[in-house]
Amino acid sequence: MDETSDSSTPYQSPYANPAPLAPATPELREYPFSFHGNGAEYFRIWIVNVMLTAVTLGIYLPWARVRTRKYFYGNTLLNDRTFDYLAKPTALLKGYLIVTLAMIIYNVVGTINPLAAIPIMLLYICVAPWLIFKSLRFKCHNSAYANVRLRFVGSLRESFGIYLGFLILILLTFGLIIPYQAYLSKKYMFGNLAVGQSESETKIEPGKFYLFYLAYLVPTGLVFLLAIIAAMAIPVATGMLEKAKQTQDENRARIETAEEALAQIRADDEAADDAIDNDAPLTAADDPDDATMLPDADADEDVDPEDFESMEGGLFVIFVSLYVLFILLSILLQQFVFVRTTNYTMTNTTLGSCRLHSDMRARDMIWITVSNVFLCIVTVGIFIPWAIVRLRKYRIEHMKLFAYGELQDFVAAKEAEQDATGDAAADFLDFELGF
Amino acid sequence: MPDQFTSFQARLSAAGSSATQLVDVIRTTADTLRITGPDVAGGSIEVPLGECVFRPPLGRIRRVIELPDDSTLESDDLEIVDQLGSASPSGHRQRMIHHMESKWQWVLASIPILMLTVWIVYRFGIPAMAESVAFKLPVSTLVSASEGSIKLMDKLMFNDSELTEERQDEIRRGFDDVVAKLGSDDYEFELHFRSMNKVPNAMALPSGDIFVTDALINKAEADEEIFAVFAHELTHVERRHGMRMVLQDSGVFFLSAVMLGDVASAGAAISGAPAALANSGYSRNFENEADAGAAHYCVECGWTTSPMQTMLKRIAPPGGSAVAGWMSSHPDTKERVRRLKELEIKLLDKLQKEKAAEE
Repeated sequence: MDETSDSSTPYQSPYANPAPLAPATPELREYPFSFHGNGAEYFRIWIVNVMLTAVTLGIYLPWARVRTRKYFYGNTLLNDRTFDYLAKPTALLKGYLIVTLAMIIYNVVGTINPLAAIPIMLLYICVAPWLIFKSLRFKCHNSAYANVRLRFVGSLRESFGIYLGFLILILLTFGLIIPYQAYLSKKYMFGNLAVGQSESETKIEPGKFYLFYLAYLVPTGLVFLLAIIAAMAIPVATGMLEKAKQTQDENRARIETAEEALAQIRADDEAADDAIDNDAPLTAADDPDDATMLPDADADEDVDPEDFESMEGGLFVIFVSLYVLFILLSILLQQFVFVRTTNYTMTNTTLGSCRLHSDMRARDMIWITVSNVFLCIVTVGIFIPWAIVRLRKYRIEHMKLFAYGELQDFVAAKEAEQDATGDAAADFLDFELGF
Repeated sequence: MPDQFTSFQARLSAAGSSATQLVDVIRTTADTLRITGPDVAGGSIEVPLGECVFRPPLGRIRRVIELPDDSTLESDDLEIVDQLGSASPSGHRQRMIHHMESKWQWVLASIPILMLTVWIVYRFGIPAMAESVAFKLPVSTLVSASEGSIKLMDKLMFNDSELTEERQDEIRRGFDDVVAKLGSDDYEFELHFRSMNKVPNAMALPSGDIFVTDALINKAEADEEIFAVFAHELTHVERRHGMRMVLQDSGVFFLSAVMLGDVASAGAAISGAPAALANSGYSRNFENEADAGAAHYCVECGWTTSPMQTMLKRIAPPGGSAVAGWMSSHPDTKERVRRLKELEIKLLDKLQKEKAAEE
């Protein structure tokens, strides 16, 4: 019943008593995402999944994948409502089979004739934007929040522009527009989501991406420099060993053929000989033509095999530690860029009257990733489920939704069914597809 | 029935709508659920239990029941809903899996079952598949697969041989003898002399092209040592090790992609390591098989296996001990020599028995 026509209520000036009116802007409320899964529980699901996948020679993989996603989505809560993953495993299986077939064709052709593999590779690259598009549509369509499926409303044309057009431009500009492509990609993925009647909108700037990547590229450049120096140092060092060996062989020959001359030289250089006794091979390599460097025949026998072995062992240790260092640094830099770009993109994404927010910290993510890798290695993989849960929990619980007043209800819009080809391709080719 | 009057709390939502209301659900008869709530039309509705679809349980996530009109009930009363759903005709297999996941004995049993399966597939499945595929391929594919490699190796690794024509001919005669004794007609064996920065080495391409470096020839003190190496390389060709290796690599790649599918994100950088280790395991098996081929040839020629043993010791890298055996693509030299000695005893025994049988 209309309030103004209610005669039992006496007239009151709205200026005199504004209290009964709803405030013009309801207060801004914060809705945190929370994650309720735990490692021990996921371990049981994971191990049974992996076991059944192995026993069925991979056929079970789509069922395992759906179960895993259902577990993670179902344990993610927002405003006391859960997410859900609704894909049918048989749809995923179809996609997996197509992708497996494509990989087999590529491998077999590449083995028989590496040149013939190039056009196939190019074909796959051309198909990739379509796969990414399909994959995003499939993933969103099969993800639901509070009983309503999400939608992806990006266009196929845009996907081709970003993942094929810009790929070519990246090659032409020697990678200078990689940050710009990353910007477009994030905008494409986050700015084209829809729930019910609300569509997402992402307002971000490419300049910020250049800033994040610059902070990433400078240390990466240093790491590469380090790697190049190491890569050069190893052959140089082995070359020195070879040379030293060679010099020793030559020396031995000279010793045999010119005993008298050697005796003469030895007499001349007795003092110098003592000094170079132990590291004879290396000093000899520094200046192989210098006759005074001829080592004493007996000392030669003592130094030879052990010295070379320990030197090559040392090189191996250097190589392994460089490899480990390289992995650590790449984790560090990757996580840095991931955290910064994701926080920035999410925080500038709105959905209807709501705004997303993410406040992960790079150092936390680096610590989680590095300690996860370490613990997974130390426990021979047993820690993997805990590692995954830990990472997911951190990422999800650093997400929030800001809304004015109560979260509104969504009603689903009709959309055509998608097939699973894209989803499977993305999983196999490991595209990074945000959340 | 004991569970006739079970009841639980749930949220009722219409199909495709996030609008929800709190309701009480009571099982009034063996196959009826009554849903009551302040906003339910008419105060309460009754649905036949048999027409409800219970989404399979998983972990401790909220349980969902689909009602006949496509609306859904979500509930946190997991045990009660699971019990109600256990009689449901659909989702039987998924419930079985949930049961496995819930019981620690099943979980613990999964670990050895998993390890055994992976080991069987790795040790027997992949090699057997690679072998059968490799031997089904026509030789022409092996030849075309090798064509590019020769050019590439000449560009990147090899220089022209510095051996004299006479020396090359001498060695080639020995090679022809190895081909006559061990080779089949399927391949056109060809010996190529190259130098490789003083590294003693020999290698075979699947096509039957065999490469030997000057340093290896110069290191040998007797030509039998070189011929033993030829027998080793020829066995690689005959047994199609090159092609099998490539196929097994792909097999391991797929195995690890399937097994580590979820893990890749946890550390893509380290996932290459197990595959590389697995491949070096295959490679060692092939080397052992090729050594056995060399042993056969040597014993047949009446040399015992000592030329092969000597050659192995000669070309053993001085720093070989730095890399553990299980990481290396070639088995440890001492181990290879030991195997050769064992095989020699067996082969000589067999020869003697054959002779005795003839007499």
